[in-house]
Amino acid sequence: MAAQKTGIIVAVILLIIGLVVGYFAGQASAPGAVETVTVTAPGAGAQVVTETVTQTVTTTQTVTAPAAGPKEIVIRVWASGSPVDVTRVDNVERAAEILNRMLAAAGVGVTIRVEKQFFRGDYMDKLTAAFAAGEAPDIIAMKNLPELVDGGYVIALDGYIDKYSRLLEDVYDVLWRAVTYKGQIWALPQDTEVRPLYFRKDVLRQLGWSEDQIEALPERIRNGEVTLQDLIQVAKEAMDKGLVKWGFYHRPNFGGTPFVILYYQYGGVLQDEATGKLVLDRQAMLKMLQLLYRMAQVDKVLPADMIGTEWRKIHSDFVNGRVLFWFGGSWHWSEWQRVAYHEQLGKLPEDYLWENVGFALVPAPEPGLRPATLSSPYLYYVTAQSENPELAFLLITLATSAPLDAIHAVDSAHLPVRRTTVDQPYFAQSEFHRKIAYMVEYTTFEPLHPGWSKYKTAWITAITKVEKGQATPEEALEEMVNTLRAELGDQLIVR
Amino acid sequence: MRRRTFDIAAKYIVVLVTAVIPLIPVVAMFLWLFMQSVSGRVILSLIPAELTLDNWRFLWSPVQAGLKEYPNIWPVAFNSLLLALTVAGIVVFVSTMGGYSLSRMDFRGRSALMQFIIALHAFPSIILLIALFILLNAVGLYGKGYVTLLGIALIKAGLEIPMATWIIKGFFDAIPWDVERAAFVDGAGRWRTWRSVILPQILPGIGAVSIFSFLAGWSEFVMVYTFIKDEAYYTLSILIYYLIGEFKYIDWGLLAAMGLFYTIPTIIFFGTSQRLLLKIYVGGVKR
Amino acid sequence: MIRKRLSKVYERIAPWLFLSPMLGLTIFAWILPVILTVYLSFTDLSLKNFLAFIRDFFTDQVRFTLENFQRMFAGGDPYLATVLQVTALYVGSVLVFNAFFSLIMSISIAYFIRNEAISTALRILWLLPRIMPPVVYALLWHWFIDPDYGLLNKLLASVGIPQSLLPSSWLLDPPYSQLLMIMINGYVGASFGMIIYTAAIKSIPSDILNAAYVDGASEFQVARRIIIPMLKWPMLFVVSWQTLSLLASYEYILAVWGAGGGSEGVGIARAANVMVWSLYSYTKAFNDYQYGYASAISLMLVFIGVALIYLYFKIFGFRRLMEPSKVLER
Repeated sequence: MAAQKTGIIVAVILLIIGLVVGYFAGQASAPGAVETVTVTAPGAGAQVVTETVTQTVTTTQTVTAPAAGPKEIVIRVWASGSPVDVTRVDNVERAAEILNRMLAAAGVGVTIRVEKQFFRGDYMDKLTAAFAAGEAPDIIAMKNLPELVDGGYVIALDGYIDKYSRLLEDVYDVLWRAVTYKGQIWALPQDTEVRPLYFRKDVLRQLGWSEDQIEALPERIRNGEVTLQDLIQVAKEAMDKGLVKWGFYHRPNFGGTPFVILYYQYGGVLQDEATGKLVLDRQAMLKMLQLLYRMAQVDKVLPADMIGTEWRKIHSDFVNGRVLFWFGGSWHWSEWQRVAYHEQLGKLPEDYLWENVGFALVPAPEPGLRPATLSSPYLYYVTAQSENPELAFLLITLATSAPLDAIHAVDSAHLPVRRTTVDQPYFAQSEFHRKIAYMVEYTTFEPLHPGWSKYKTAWITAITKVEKGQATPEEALEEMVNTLRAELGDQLIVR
Repeated sequence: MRRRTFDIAAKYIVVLVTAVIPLIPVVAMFLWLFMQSVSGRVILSLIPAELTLDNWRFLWSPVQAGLKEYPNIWPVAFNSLLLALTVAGIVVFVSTMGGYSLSRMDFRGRSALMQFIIALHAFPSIILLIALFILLNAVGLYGKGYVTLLGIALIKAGLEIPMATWIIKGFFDAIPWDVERAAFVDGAGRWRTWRSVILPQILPGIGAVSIFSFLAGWSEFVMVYTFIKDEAYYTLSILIYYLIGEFKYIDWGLLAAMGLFYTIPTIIFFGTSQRLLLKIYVGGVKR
Repeated sequence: MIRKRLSKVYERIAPWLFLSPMLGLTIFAWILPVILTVYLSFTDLSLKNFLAFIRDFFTDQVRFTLENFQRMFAGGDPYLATVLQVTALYVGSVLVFNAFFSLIMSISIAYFIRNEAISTALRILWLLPRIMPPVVYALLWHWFIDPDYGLLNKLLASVGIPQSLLPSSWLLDPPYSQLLMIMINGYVGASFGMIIYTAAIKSIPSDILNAAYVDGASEFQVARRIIIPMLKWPMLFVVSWQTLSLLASYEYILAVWGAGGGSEGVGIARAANVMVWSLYSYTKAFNDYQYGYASAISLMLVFIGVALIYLYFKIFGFRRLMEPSKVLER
């Protein structure tokens, strides 16, 4: 008994000592977050941006570090996304460094320090908690515009936008639509993207496709010569020959691709132009569900339990060549290069991707329909609890300005939000962006409506049931209509 | 005689089927945790492969996933320790006082109070997190850095209190009245009696309760996950919870090493005091 | 005289002084939240008016309403029926595991196995799942069920279960995912039964057992004819107590199915059909931000809990409820 007691006491003491020592060692070795700004990209053009930015950073650091005198303003920024989207917070930090340098040059005794937090998933719960405690960040990057506006979490930016309109002239006009709600502008577009259909070139080669045929596929999809029906046949062939485990993968949860895209392609509309109400087009919805039913239950080229599959597994399966077609997003191109999904190669070099992976628009579901894609812009907001809203606004304006926009667009494989970004050297050297740029002409958007999340939930439920074979497309549609009527009431138009 | 042999055979079959075979997953998982944490690649059996310490790199450098850097493990472990110690401290203080009163003092409503404590089991606060959040926020125990951890510690301690009080009460019940009476005769007041005569007698009980509540705080997951927003105040459970999402399929070695690191204190406490804990568990009422 | 009176007053308030920290904490962690939950469940608190509510508790942006209950009882939430089914399956199945399976397991460990060392070792192993941090426990299961790297499918295949019967994902394919949910919680809960039963078995007077041996009964017969009937009350206790525990416990499901954080866990838990009542309330609050509705869902659990505990007091009587580990006279 005594020995045991001594054992416990020794263990506890060791544990505490270890933790305290480790804590301070950790503190000492963690050299301030600022230094982690690294722009990793080869190429001559890249260096221009890289150098300016790093230079800015280093200079500012020496300026700001020791002086106890100048007033320090802390701007906090939160964002989320996939592991490559950290630029969403880092760019604000870069913007602050630029501003700091200007302030120092003007001899103004103020420095801005950016505190950043980056989440891997939805962080609305954390945000509401922070708001409740009066500790909300100044800047947030997320989607969810109607909820944020209706709840009073963010402020309208019209005044600032007028004031600094010269800095914002090159924002793509179409993107302003995505930040306008109830007649006011509530955010700046942070990035946008397209959602291509990725395909494995190596598998197509094994199927006997020539190199020319493979390279021509995106163009033929664009012209409508190749439809989803054709690709389903290809997928079946590849599965029959044992080249892949699955023909198609789509997202494990609701997302624009391919569900909204398919619905639009079948002629569906989600929001009524005149009233702003949500719309459900029975015909288009049914066709869309029937297509998924066919893929999962009849042709069996899509796993029936696709919804809910983990992201890791999806990426891992596609990157390792176990899946032929993947309804992904442009940013995945970057993610595969920066996260070790491949079982032998780990993080994939871009050359491997060019060799083995291609991308095209989401093909027309049937002959006679159009190929399409979808963009869902990510947005920067200034929160209602920011004590320096104008400063926060300036920072996000700078953070989305062409040079920084280029860094985010290239590093995370998103599309730029500024027209002039394409002239940035860092951007111009990106082959991926050159090749994917045409897709913007085919893009569509999701509706901006506070009931949209309920709509999505009902929709994904229908999709899950149809793919699993738990309900026929007709039954699932009926249930979806009933649920939505109950939840949305007069905010829904069923056609 | 044949019947007897049959019965003995049946007995051992029952033992095997109910008490031994179902343990295979538990034992296998545990072995895996050890073996994988020092293996350089994914092990498909329970034999370590390519011995390495690389999985333990999180001890000296922060974990990175893509471009995202997770917080350093030591401050996070420190937070866990802080939470666990606070919970243990509160529980020991509150339960020894309450247990003494329930065991040794006679007052109106005593039996009703005991019933009430048991009845609390009907609605553990884990299902009332929204209300708790609003409450913590209203009394200023939310959002101010470590204060949030204190708020969580209070609620967690509150959850542990009924059982802890009950255990401590059991220990008080076991002390003969004579001991206390002797102290009274010597002219000591209630408080002094409690401190100098009674308390030493229930040290094993206090030990057990503090270990229980320390482990409860150390393992706490849902409340920290729900209430802590700032990476600076993450505890180990939250860090690992997020990292499971990042590294599953990719780096089982790292996950196993972190999981083992997190479990070590639990194993130490449990290993050194299992006899005591088993004894308490037998008397205690805990899911 | 005054001294004496003072000391009398002191005697009277002393118990409450000693109790005050406990009462304070209880009010803070149990009573106030329940009252607040009752209040919230009659409001339309959501993301929309949450900020206003935090600023001013009585803001008129928060409406007093019965909608949450209408939604719950009048079919406004079609998914609730599924949740109810899953909850019934969850509580029922884990109970069978915890109350009946662990009864036989306890007899094995505490009575059949006479070697004290082996018996203790087994008991410790059975306690492991309960003692481990839930997140690590979840991690271990994630590995164990992994179709490529884990052991489960291999073990099952090695005992002759054909590949076609094994799911491609234990996590996602119902009913396998539900079986997994039951196993994960069953292993944690089994030790509760074990603890109670072991204590009860140890407290059976040895002369009863000896008398049986003299009559020529084997250990197996003793277990069946004497021990199990004597464990009636402990068994009833385990069932009642665990019903309450299970109704409110979603920690392990969240730890396993939500691993990785973010809102994806909700979709996964739904797809896997493991959305139990308490978890549903949690996701309604912290993923859908419908705080009022989530409170109403929680309130149902409180109601059921209180009703059950009231029933238990009636059935058992307080004293019996408190001495579950002893074999009580019938």
